[in-house]
Amino acid sequence: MIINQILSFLPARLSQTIRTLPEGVRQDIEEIRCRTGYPPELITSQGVYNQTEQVVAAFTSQEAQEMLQKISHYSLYTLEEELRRGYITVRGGHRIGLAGHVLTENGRVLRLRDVTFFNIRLAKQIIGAANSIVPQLYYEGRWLSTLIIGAPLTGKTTMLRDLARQISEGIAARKIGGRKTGIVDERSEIAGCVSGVPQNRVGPRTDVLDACPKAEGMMMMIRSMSPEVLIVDEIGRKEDTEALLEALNAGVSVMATAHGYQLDQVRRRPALTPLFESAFFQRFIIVSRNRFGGAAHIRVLNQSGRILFSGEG
Amino acid sequence: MIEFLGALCIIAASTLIGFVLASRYNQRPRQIRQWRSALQSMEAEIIYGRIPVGELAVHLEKQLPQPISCFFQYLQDALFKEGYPLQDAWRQAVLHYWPQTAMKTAEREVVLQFGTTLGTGDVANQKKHIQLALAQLEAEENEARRDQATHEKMMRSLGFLAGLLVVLLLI
Repeated sequence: MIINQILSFLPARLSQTIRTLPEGVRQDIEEIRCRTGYPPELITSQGVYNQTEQVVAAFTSQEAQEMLQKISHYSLYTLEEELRRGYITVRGGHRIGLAGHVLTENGRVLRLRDVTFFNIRLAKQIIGAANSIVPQLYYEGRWLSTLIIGAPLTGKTTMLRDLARQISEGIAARKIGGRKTGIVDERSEIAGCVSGVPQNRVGPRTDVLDACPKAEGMMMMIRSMSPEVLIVDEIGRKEDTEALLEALNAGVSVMATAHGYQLDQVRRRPALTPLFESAFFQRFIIVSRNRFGGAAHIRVLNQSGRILFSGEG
Repeated sequence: MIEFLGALCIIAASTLIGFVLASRYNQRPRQIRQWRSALQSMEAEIIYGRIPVGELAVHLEKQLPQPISCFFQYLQDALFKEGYPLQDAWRQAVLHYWPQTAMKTAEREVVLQFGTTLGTGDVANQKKHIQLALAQLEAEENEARRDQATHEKMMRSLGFLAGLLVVLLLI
């Protein structure tokens, strides 16, 4: 079971509590939050799971230290980069967000020193999350460059990950062959790599640049691995746009995500306007999720903004 | 005839004891030197490879000669089979390994102290602790060499002479 992969990091009493939870709740856990001085918090797709608060005592700073030690396999020096970025990806593709006291030098973040807040986000790959949109994105033998737009926690990345898998594996039912796919995974969220090996199923023809800055990574990928489709998460900065235009010149299709609620809102972002001027993206997918736990609503738009598909995903 | 054989036995036995004691003086600097090269390998793996301690123990066990490769075997056992946290595993492995060697408590303390700092800091920090342990072990090694120079030969001849003395007293 997925949650077992992270139980070994947790303080013994907390992992014991989780083991004794009802099966349904255990399967449904999305986040485990530990804050020094307060009881740990479990978040399921239904919201905060309240019953633990009475049972579990406050998370102590001693436990916080031990937890960080366990996460680093007792080798803190292996996490230097992670302590600067503020999150760690562990086996299974789960991400542990960190906060606490930050050391700075000349105004730049050096690293976290006292890590006192943890947010363990369980990775749940949903195979088939992109099923409903795939038919709209493949046209005359090629994948169309697509931008997935959605607010945080709407499942953009989940969809992108499954899209990557389907592009790479090919879709036998529709006689689409697998394509060379390159993922630039700046935050280790798409492939969830540990030591460079993807923990999520991203397909047999996929190459991954893990923890690589997006703009630079896209250029590296295009130059070195000649992908047919490039997958990248959360574009939005000026450098990203430049790299994407480079990809356009190289004839590479791009699947990307961006934060936002509506197409117009994204279109107005100054850094992204060149992409719209050059008609870079041929499809837009708007994902919205009304309430916590509700199913996502998906709309697929073409370049001129006409709705090609609308439905629950 | 019997007396002669008995005397020979006594002399042989005590000479052997002398040689064993002498070989401890001979082994100690060599084993300390092994530890120093082990620490240097660790330094390289930590600084250039950022390799976690568990994996590092596997590498070093393969790379290094006996007897020190045994230590890394014990460390792996304590870490993976018994699931101790690193600090406890290191301590256990040291305490298990030390009686099998010619090394003394002074260098054991250095290694134990080093174990409490392993894996608890960033690379720069780790490097400092390794350098400190290396310097301390070097001092121990020099002392062990001085001991070797003065005691090794003495122990050998002392073993033989002690046997001779016993024989003479008995005759």
